Amino acid sequence: MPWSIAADLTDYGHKIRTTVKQWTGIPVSVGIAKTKTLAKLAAHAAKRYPSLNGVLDFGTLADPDTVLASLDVGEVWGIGRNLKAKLNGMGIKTVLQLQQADERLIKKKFGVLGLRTVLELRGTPCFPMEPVAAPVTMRIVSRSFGHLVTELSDIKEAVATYTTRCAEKLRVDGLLASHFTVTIRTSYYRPENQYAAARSVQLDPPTHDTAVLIHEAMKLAEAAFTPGYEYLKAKVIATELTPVGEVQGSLFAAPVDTEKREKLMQTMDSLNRKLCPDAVKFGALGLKPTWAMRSDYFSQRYTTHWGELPTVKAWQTTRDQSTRLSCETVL
Amino acid sequence: MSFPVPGDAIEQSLDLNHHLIHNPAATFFMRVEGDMVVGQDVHPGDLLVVDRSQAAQDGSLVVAAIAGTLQVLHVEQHHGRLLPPGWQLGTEGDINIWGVVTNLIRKV
Repeated sequence: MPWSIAADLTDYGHKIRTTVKQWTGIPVSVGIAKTKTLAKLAAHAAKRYPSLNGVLDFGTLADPDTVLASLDVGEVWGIGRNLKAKLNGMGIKTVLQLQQADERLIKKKFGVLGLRTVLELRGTPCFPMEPVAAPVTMRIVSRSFGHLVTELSDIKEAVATYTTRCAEKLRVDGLLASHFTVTIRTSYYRPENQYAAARSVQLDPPTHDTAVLIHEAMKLAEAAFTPGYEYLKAKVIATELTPVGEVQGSLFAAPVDTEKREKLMQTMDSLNRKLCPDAVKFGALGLKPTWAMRSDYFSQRYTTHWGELPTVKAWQTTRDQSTRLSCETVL
Repeated sequence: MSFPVPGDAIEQSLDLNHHLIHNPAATFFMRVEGDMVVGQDVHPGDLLVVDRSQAAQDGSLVVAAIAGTLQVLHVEQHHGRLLPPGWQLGTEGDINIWGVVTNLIRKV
């Protein structure tokens, strides 16, 4: 009896939705389908049509094509602005049109990934479930500056700071980086004087030692920097990551006292965790970052900071007894 | 005279999180502010442990949104609704129970 199973799934979706709303106050919509791509669309439709009450099991639809025809192709998972423009150019505007598109044409124009999306829309699962998170392949730390920056010294402080964050993340994950990249760029939104540069280095042996990474990052930042531009953003990227303990010894690199360095990093991490972030830091980070991201518009950290908890007032029960009595008589 | 050796008896340390929080996903902390009110069991500066997954009952201490502000109060059952004592239906706006206070943490 496939229908009863389907009905149960919708019920289950409502249960999830009610629980999340009750526990966290966050409204969510639930989409259920045979493939991830369709499930995402179902969740989107559930949000869009109020009569569904936030839950849609795609399998229960009597006429799924009408729904697919009402949805813009840009709503499909994996189809961003560029792909949407390209598809629109081919006359494909709705999800239904994409679902019915010619397989060979799609494969030719969008490769096998595009084809997978079409097959998923037809109900053939191509993107498997991932019950275990895929291993981390890169660590990026990237922020815009609070204002445009022209000085190399500011860029270097920012890059050193991002590198410190990146190294901390690598240590938390127990990973060592073999490749490290620094990029800096000007604003995309200014028509003139645009500039962007990236410099990379191969690390041998792989490391998550903040000092080593900062040392390399400073050289990369200097190499990427060209005077005369107003920089908006810097980014550091650690790639070619290997878990600690799986690294092969290097034939050519000078031996380092890894154990001692490892202890130093552990001590730094535990001090910073106990006291406050950056209680202990490298001098390259600077003392007064003038480049730092503006934080005056940050929303209050209601659930992560003791000093920023939501406040409540005590209800005043000092109203006089007569009001109270009359109220109770009325009730 | 010899000292007792406590080593074997200690299996784990006591965790306040475990003691105070039953449903971490639905638990929030809030701070009481404002003036001290005589006869109130909640004082300014108290830390409230609020569990949104618990259903309020007659007499529960709750955090409720009243006229757009969060307030902490006891609610009573009145004709099938949970309301603050002395609440005048219809004239005092709406009350929306946000969560049930399960613990008060007070610095002394």
